[in-house]
Amino acid sequence: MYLNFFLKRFGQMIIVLILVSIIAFSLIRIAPGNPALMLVEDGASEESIHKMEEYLGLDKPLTEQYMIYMTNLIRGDFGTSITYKLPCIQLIAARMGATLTLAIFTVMVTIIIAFPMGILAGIKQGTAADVFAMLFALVGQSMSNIWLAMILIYVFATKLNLLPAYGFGQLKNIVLPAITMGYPTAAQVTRMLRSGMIDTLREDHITATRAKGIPEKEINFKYALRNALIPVVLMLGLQFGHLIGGALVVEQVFSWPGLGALTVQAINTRDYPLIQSILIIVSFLFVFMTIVVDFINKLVDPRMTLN
Amino acid sequence: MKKILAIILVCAMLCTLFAGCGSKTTNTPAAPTDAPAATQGAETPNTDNTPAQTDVPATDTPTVFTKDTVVLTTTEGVTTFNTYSYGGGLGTTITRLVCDAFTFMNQDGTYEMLLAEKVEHDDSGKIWTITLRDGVKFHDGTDLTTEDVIATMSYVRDNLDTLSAAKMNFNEFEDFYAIDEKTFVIVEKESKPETLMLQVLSQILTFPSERIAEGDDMFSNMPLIGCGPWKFVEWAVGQYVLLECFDDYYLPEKVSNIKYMKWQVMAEETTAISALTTGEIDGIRLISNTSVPQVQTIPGVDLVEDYGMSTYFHFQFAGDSPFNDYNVRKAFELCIDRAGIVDYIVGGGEVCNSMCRSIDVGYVPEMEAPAFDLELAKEYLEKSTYDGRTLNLMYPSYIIDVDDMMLQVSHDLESIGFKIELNSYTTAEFNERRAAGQYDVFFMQVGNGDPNMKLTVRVHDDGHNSSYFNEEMFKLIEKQSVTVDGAERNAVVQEIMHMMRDEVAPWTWGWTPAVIRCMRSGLTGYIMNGQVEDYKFLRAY
Repeated sequence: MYLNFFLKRFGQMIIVLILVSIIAFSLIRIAPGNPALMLVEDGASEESIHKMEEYLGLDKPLTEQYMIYMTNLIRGDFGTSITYKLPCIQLIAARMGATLTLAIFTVMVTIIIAFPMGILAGIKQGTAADVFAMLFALVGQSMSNIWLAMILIYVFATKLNLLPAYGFGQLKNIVLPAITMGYPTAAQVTRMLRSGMIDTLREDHITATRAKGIPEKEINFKYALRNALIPVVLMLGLQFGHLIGGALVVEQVFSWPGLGALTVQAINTRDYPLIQSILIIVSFLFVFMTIVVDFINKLVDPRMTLN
Repeated sequence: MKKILAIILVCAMLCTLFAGCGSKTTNTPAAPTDAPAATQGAETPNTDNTPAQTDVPATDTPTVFTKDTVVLTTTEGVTTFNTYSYGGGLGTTITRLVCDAFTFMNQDGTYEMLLAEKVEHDDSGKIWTITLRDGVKFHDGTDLTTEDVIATMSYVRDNLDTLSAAKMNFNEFEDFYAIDEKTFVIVEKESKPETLMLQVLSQILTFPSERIAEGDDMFSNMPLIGCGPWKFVEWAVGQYVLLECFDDYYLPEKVSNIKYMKWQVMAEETTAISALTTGEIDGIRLISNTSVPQVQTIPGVDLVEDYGMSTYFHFQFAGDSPFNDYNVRKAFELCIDRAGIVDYIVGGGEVCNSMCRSIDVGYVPEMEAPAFDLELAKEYLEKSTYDGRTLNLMYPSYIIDVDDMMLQVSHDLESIGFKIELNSYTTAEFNERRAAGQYDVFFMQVGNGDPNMKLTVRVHDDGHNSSYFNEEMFKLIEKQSVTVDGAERNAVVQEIMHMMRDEVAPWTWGWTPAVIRCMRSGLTGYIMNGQVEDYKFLRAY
């Protein structure tokens, strides 16, 4: 069963990636802006521009350019960045570590904050804890993360001098970016988990377990939470997938060397190979995450079918 | 009870939310300056030991800088260290710390010798003999010889199609060759003015001949090796570049007393200011005018206002556009409140009275900056052939404060009857539209320094697609580029300046915005020489 599932999803992934490669390749070329013009002198002659296009391989027909790109891609060669003159894969790898680290810590912050709060709010519906959790969620979902980032920097870096305002490489560097990214997600998950818990706790099978005299703690965590977790796992997985694509605002504010800033820079400079490579790799990871999410959901709820 | 608790929680959250709103600073423009002063001595580069120019008052008395690493920030990351190709940005600034050129341009526009001991030319100004200084070593310990110079120059000449930034200089070389280990010759196709040659020589960086053999990868395969005062240590792409002081630098008195220089990428200015407050960083390369009041409250930080690296101009596309009519051009020139833009938007600088700064060749001191006279502008527009069509004013989005500047310009133009459509583009799209002539008028910045590049490339070679043609002016432009005698050339350029002002074509003058940097007190030796910013001789005192 698992083999079938993975083979099928792998096939789907290939199709998605081919489509992404075509879309990425076409869109960036449709957009105005010629990378050759960024590299030639002001007022360059047609000949100079053409020579630069030739050097960059942009003088060939689009279909040929695409075929060359895909052939190289299959060989594992993502091409060379036009602006950096470095292999795209090297540039992406250098940023991917930071992006993945931030994504993982963001999910951790989300889980640490949202799970206890959401579960408690669901179990203790209408109490002060519930009110607090809902306020927390409301603020988290309404607040812009750049605003939150500024406040965190102002309080924890500038005023209290407890954490660095920027940087990468040490554990203390990730605290503020992860909270900035994690808070809105935590707010969302808190609401979802709370409503999931409330719905599940009202269901007949929970009443039946209560009638059997099973302890409330076991009912909450073994039966109710398991059901409430299914949409939360899905959401967290997809959120993780989004985070892999880079978080431009947080990267900008905290000088976090992630993929978001690299993507924007590549788009601005019309660095075709780099944009294509980023989109393909991010798409691959996103699709991969959806497979992982499906698999985890199957583990959480054995009644689910993988197909 | 629940209600009370909820109210308390709401209050607590609101307090947190507004915690960042308590700034006591006000948003006022930086104090404008009359003219930026030079910080460098005339004899040798950066010999003084005083703080760099501080027109904007610092809030604290200078303190001693004791750290062994100076951390400077920049909003843009390094993309390439190749100064011979376009797109260098910060990479160019850093490469110039690692690699020395033959000459060095001071803040006051004068030139000093670096790798070159002397630069001589024949009477025609075509044959230039450059003698290298003794005792110059690359960071790998090898001696600098003319073999390295010729290898570097040959490499650049042979790859001019892709090393576009070098084209202007290298296309004018007839030949170059070594005479001995210390002397080489550059033969120009045409006579060359001395200041222009010194400028060319300030842009040629030399690499070890062994690295040249590595081909195009020499700029991306680290480490970068030069013979400048800072050694390359590490480049973390998208994060920072780390340099180390080079103890065997050939000018021992210029060796920095700071061990490391780190260039940290920090895209968000407010974060950089926070980091400056906490002492995590020591300088911000460029800050916007709106951040000045905030920085002024940070103790131990100097605000430094320098000449901008660029001057802003509006280029007028003639073609079949209304700008073929002198009256339209004149109306355009008269209705822009340049002084207002300088004072209230860019926060300092000066309104240009010509394309030259006061320290450049061709400056005309008696020429007045364009007046701001709406009534006169209206009169010119009324008697013009302008048919009320909407003019496409485009500009590149990367220029700091450009949206505010353009909104003001658009407002000024519309106040006398022009119809303006503002279009902001990324550099890639801007360049493409400019090349294709898809605009009526565009706004952009032009690098300062010797006026030859602006005159030859942008005006004479019609690089901006204007169909404006003035045979007399073009002949003068050709003449200034080959006039060896300094005084004579100065007069020729002045004549061109007058002509362009009289014709209001092919561009109209703009303004040179001040560049505001903030640096930790106790640092000195950083300059803005009108073309590039230089931290080559940065040191603590």
